Amino acid sequence: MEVRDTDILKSDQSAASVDQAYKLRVKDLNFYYGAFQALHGISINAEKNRVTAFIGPSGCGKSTFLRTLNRMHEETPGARVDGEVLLDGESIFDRDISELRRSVGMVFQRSTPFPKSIFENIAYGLRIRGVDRSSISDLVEQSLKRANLWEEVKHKLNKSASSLSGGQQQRLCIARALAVNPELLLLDEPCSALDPIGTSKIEDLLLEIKETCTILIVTHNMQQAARVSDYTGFFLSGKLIEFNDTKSMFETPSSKLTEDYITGRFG
Amino acid sequence: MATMVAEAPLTRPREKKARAGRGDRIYHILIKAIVGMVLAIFAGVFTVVVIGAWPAVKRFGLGFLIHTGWDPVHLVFGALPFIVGTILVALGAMILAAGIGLMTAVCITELLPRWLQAPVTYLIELLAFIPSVVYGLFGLLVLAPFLQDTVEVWIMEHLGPHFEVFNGAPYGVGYMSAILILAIMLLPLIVTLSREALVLVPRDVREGGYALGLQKWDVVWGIIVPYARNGILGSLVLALGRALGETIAVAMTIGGGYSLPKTVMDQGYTLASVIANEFNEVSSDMYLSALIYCGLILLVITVVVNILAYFLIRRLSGAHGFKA
Amino acid sequence: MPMASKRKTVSYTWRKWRGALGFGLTGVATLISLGALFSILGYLIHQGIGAINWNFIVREPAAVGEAGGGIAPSLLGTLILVAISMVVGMPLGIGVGIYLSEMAGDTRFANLARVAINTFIGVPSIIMGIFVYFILVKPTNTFSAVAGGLALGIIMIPIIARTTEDVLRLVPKSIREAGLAIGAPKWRVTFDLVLPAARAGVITGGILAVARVAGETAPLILTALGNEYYPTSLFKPIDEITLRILKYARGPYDVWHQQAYGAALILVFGVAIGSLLLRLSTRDRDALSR
Repeated sequence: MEVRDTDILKSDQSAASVDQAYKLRVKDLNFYYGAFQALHGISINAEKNRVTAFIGPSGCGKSTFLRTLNRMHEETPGARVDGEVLLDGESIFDRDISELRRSVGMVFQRSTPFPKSIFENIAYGLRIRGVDRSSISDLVEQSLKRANLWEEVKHKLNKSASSLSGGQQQRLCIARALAVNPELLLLDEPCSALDPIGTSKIEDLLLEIKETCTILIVTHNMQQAARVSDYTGFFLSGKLIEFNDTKSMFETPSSKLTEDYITGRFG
Repeated sequence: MATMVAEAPLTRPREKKARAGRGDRIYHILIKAIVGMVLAIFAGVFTVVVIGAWPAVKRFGLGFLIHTGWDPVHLVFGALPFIVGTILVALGAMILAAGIGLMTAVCITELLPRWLQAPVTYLIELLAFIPSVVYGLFGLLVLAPFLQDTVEVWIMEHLGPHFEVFNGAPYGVGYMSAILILAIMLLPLIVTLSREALVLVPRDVREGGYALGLQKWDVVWGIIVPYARNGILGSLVLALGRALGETIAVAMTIGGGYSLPKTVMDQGYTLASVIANEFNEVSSDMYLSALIYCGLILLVITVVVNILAYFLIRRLSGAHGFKA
Repeated sequence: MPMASKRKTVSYTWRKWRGALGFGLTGVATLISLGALFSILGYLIHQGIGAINWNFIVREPAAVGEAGGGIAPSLLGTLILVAISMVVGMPLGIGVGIYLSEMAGDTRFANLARVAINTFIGVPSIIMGIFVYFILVKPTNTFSAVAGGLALGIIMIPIIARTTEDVLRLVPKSIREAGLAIGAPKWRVTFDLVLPAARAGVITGGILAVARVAGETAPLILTALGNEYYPTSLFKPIDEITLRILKYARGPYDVWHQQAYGAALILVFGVAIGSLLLRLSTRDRDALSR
């Protein structure tokens, strides 16, 4: 095993130029829940500082795919993966899991504030990471500002996070993810529970933060994918049917299935 | 540009588990140690009871279960009267408490106006918080003398000559007192749990009944109660377990006696109450061991009842597709 | 429903009367249930209130059969026994609850543990008394506070384990995932995020278990025994309020009976306050989940 590991690493290093352009490379990823195969040979390259969106009908495997990228699937009993996932050319499966998750932030469909104050929600992640005590409150302010939430909450940092509106909670979760400076940010249908105003605030936010990190977003909303993403992948029945830059994907889809989905014939 | 990759053999198995950090390893070991310790305690309870009962088991064998006679002087012991007592007291109390308790639960959920439901439920729940010894106190000092002076005298005079089962002496304390006190103790358990089961019946099930043009009574007994029967059965099983094992309230009201009961007014013992009442009187190791043997029988009965109940409820809920 | 079709033939008036009769019976049943409650509480207050005064709470028992004296050693003993039982029962019970909810999943060992917990909730408390008698009282040759507390603690374990598992399972999975997603190790997710989110429920379970064991008498007969005097050592027999009630109720003196009512009234008052706290804390939990 160890020998093969280094073999693969070597071949990756020889393709160093590729690694620099692509933050994340996935090669032939298969995913199983027990005997059921949920993902079939997914291969994808995600560019640095770009937003890559994944669309598809529910149950198509797009969320499952996203959850393997920070190894969240390992919390599900019976889940199994094979294939390559390289972050900056290094396999995520060889990294320490906690350390990996600190560099790959994740935001979920339902906002998930911790049962703590607004301040503590963000400070908690910093403390886990061992950030110096004295710099915590600065970092909290900074991340709330990056998430465009600071002005709305700066007077009530000690209030419970559950007192915020749904959209604010979701931006708090993004702030929490940003606080530890992730290289990659995964968003799993972050706007599906939000009203249009909350949604547009988050979309604006994504366009700002892609300056500093690479974003992968799963959405069932095609307009959203078209608005925020640079690249789009279309999943169907556990297979990646098509992957292309967003403009080409929506204007001239190469697959009949993609075209049917985009034009609303199913899903 | 479809990206369907066909090069299969490139994959390598990902069986390597995430290496847990040091904190997580300590956490796992600690929690598993606690679980191991608790299971060891549980196993220890069984083992110790068996060991404690062993001298009596060796001497009396299974005959202990079917013999009468309790003579600490000549060391002759048989637990049949206590086994019979346990079953009679538990069944008698269950019949009373199940009937009244279930009807009370129906009354609370289906008949009482909304504003009365919560306070009545709370009052009956309060009954569940009263410790057994207080029931025993009430049974011994209030209920038993009352029964002795009124009900039992009447029964003896009017029913006694005609029915052997009523032809006893009015002691006050005895089976009748123990059964009544135990029934009162079981009531809150049955009422609160079956009330919860009835409240959980979905609104459309009720409305479906009314839409058929059924009377309220028919909807309640024909539809709502059957729908909630798993929860109701669960409450009865819990109550039965409690009834079999109740110790101090029964010990205070059943009077004490070593022979098989002939009438409802006789005095006797249940398995649990004989241990509580005789334990501090033991004069020999064999006597102690015989009492622990009673404890072993009680333990086996309650465990068997619990396990049967578990499978019964699981089968019922499986067969009808109701979600637990 | 086959009943319904059969009943179509029954006349409307009869059905109406039968309903009224049926509901009338349920009303009578409710009155019986409430009547039992009120007669017990009423009698307790009527008889017990006269026994309760300052001396009753702060004095030791008087000489046998004489008036006066109090139950202070029993009250103190009850507090000590409950404290010991919490030291034993809380960490073990909560630990098992955490295991069942956070670590075990559906493995065979976990199901074994679950069956064991459910079985032990149904085991009569006097059995735990027998257990502690043999492992502690007999070897040390003395009844003691430690033995009594241990027996009560063992009774608590399965109750606390089950309520803890139940309330931890109510914490949304998403909170755990969010914690893991920011790189928190599992033990921190459990202790920093899941347990605080379920705090109200865990406390409720604790109060419930304490209320349960504070009213236990049977196992104490085999372990704590009872005592006329203030506790001087954890390794000597100790009194407890239900043991005191038992002794006084069985005694031949009227003054003992009255003091038994007084002690019972104090005990019931105590658990009623406990149940009130329980109500309030569950209301908080409901408010949180909304």
